[in-house]
Amino acid sequence: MKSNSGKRLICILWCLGLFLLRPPLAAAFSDILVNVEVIKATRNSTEIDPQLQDLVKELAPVLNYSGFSLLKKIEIRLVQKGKGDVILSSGRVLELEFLGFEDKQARLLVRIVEKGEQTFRTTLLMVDKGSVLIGGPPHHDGVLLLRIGAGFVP
Amino acid sequence: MEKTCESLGPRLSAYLDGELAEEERRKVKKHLETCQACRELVHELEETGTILKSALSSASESEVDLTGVWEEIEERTHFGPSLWQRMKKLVGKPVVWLPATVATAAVALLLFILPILKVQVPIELSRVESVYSRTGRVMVLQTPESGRPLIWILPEAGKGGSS
Repeated sequence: MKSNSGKRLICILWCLGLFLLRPPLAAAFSDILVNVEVIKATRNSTEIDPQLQDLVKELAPVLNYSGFSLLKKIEIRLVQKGKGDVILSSGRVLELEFLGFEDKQARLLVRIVEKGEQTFRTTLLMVDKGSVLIGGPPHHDGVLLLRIGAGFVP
Repeated sequence: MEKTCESLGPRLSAYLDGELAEEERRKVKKHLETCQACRELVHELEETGTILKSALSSASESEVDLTGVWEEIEERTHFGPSLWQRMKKLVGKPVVWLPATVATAAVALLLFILPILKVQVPIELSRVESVYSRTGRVMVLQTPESGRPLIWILPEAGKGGSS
């Protein structure tokens, strides 16, 4: 019947409208862009690197340090199963390995190796544009603080 | 259509069947001479009658198969409502509007209303799946403001620390 074809037409138009208005689907990602900020936190100074103002404000309630300086800022693009290194200080290296995506998260293996020996290891589930802080290793008159962020790359 | 058409229109079928009184038949006939719309309607009625008669005459006495007859009538005479009328009838039915309204409301909620209201959708955060330290002393916490994970490696017991 002609009225049936009219119904069909309206249904098709609605479906088309919904399809056009749908939220964008999650893009398929293949790599991650890891940002590593190597920061020295100390109690012997009150100088704060302007680039770290937001971090200092965030950490103030939980850490008792007054001086924060940015020692290094590195960006590494990692493919799945890819590895990257960041030298933290003489004889101390931060090793990163991107293990792969799982659901909406990227699994990242982070290791600190000192003079060839692994002293710290963690597996992180990173969300897109998320970050994690790692701190504590002694460094001169203070401690090292690492801000590790990840961005997903299609 | 003129007013005369409205009053005479319903009688056209009776006119064709010869069921009208003489005076009324003359009125209709006179009107048909001047009215193109009613002449077309009469023609359509005649067509319909022809198709029906043909369908009935080809059927056996015990069984009348009218399958497809109406479609044929519609096709040949364009007797059905106009497209505009059909659309009006269609959109007036709740069976079409209800799912359409629900779907539109859902899409509008997702696209426009939720962002405006800033509904507390759980924010996904990065997580610590596992952790190991040679010192054997690690603290994992979240920063109060953003909930960002913070792993703090503590010195070995007895060695003291600076945090």
